[in-house]
Amino acid sequence: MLEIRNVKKNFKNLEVLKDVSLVVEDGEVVVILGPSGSGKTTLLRCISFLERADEGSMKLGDTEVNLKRATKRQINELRKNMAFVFQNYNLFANKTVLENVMEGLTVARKVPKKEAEERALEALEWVGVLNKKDAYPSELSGGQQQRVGIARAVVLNPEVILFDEPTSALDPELVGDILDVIKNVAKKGITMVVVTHEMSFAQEVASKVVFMDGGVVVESGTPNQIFFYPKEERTKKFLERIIPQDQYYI
Amino acid sequence: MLDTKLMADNFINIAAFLPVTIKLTIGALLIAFPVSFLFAFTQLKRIPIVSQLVRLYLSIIRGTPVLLQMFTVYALIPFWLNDLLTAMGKDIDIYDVDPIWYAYFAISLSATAFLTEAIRSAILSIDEGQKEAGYMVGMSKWQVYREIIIPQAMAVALPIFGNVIVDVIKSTSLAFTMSVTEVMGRAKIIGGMTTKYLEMYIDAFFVYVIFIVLVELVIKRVEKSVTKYRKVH
Amino acid sequence: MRGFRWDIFIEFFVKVLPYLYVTAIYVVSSVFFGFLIGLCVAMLRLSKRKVLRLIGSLYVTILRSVPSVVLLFIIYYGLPMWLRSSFGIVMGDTDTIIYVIVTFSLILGSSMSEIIRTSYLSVPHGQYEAAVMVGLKPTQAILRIVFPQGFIVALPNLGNIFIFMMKEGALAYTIGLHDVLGRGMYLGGLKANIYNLELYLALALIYWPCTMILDKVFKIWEKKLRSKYLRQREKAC
Repeated sequence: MLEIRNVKKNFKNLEVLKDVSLVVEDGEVVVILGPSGSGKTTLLRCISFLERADEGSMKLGDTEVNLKRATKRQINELRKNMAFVFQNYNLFANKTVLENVMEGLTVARKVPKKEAEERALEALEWVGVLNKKDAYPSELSGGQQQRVGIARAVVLNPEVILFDEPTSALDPELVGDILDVIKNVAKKGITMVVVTHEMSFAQEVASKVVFMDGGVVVESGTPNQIFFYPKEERTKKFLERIIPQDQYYI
Repeated sequence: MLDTKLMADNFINIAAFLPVTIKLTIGALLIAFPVSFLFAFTQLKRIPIVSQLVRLYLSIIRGTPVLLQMFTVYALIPFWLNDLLTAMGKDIDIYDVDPIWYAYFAISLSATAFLTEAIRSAILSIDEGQKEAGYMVGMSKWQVYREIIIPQAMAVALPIFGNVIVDVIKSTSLAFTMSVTEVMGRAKIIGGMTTKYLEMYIDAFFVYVIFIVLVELVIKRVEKSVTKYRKVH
Repeated sequence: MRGFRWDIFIEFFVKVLPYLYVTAIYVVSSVFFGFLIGLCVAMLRLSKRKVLRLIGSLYVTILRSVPSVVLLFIIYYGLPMWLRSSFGIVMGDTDTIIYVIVTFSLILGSSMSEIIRTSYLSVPHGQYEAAVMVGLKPTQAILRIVFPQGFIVALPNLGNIFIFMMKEGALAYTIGLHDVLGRGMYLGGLKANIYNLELYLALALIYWPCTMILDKVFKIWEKKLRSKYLRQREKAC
């Protein structure tokens, strides 16, 4: 279980996260929606310590840390229980696809090479890019790279996988394929937090939808509740802009 | 330890030779710039034989120490000059020629090598589209180069020009090996007179650093104003 | 003009060539220590604290503005004095090469810091982020992921540093070191400097091929690394 409490983050004079709290139960798929600048990506980056929050705490499993004062060791330990899928894939350019997936296992978790290779090959097959295992990222298309990115995350058996707009950098025709892969990850029962604009994905897969705007959680609930019975004005306004009127208010 | 009083007293003494440094720099650059444009032209136009010779020259100059170049010039040029002058019927004693002329030439060798390459690559870096647009509004090849290509290329090359200028200033510090007394040479001489070499060289150190930092500031200013048109608004 | 004495030219060439080892020693040492210094200075310049950044910039600015020979003489006269008064260490006559190495380590440290800094910045930050997110410690992330990618960018500049060092190091002659130039000038002096023309040609024919070889080696190395990681996609799949 992932608990996030009272996260605040300022960039210079801008309050990007004002006071955000969130609870993610085991096996839940939480989708975070919101306009750009709402702080959703920043939230993800704060929990993974890619940014340092100004205030707040989090609890992952049994480990609790203060987001501001966490030590390097605590951060490294926590990261070993998480995985991150980036918008821009961020595959290690100087390593092959197979090496990319194995890196977290062999170097960070001291998994023996043979076992790591087996697990990696399995993951690559599962996302559908096994045939590219010896290629370098520069040789792959965006869709292929993101599949590898997902394999790299899944192979680590983390407590939670964080997805930061996983399909935003892809050509439109590839988005659906990647969403399918992510849906399969959800089917495996892995706890996921997904920041995305893809509404249909949220409707199909999310167990909880969280709407953020202006650095706060405006509303959260089941996809049904949020998409069809939004309570807050801001939520309604946002949905109006994204979803055509006739698909709304059933 | 360090005789700081002597250092302070002689600072002006040593700095007084800065004009020689400046003279050497300007003299060398006055030779290097026109020749570099010429050489770059031969490279770009791929003039047979000449461009090969130029490439050979550039390779040798860029591959040998400046000090060696200076020694070679100092050993060779006076005699060639002598032979030349005798053949022309001029009756000038070779020992009357101020060694600074050899220094201008020697220092310009290295500057030419780097400037040629800088000019060549800067001109090549200008987008073909600029040329095409120029032709399409009716300009001749010469006009396109003069009005559009070369000005833009100069803006691109400016930082490298700046580096070359600084390098030339630094290589003037070796002119004392060619009997030309500039800042470093002066420091050596006073050092010899007072046996306080270290103090004098530290003075020279400060003279050079202050001078070069000022020169770099000026160059940066020039760069800024020339590249104004390249700023994205 | 007298005729060119090819026999003496060859004599100089053969007698000076072995002294390449001296040049090699100070080139490799200076680049090595220069790298260490450059690393420290680069870290200063990339620091979050303004004061540290300023110190780094100051170092680079000052060392970029000193002619090598001036710094060399200062080290040559100053280092033994400082070592004797502070530590009681007495420098010997065979230690000239140390002054050369110290001087050029300082000078190269400045250029190296620039190279390290720009090649580090050229690697997308996302690479580092992905690395720590799969659980690598920051140091591991830098060594295994960021550095190899930055290295390719730095390589051509590194080649230039080696070539520069080989040429600039010849200044060691002015403090009496018998490297290629130094030995050559000494041998020339033994012949009363009558045959200096032959000498200079011999020296040029030692330096020039060496720098060309260095240039070629680095170009080939860069090509190899590039073709490995940066292969382009043949067809979209």
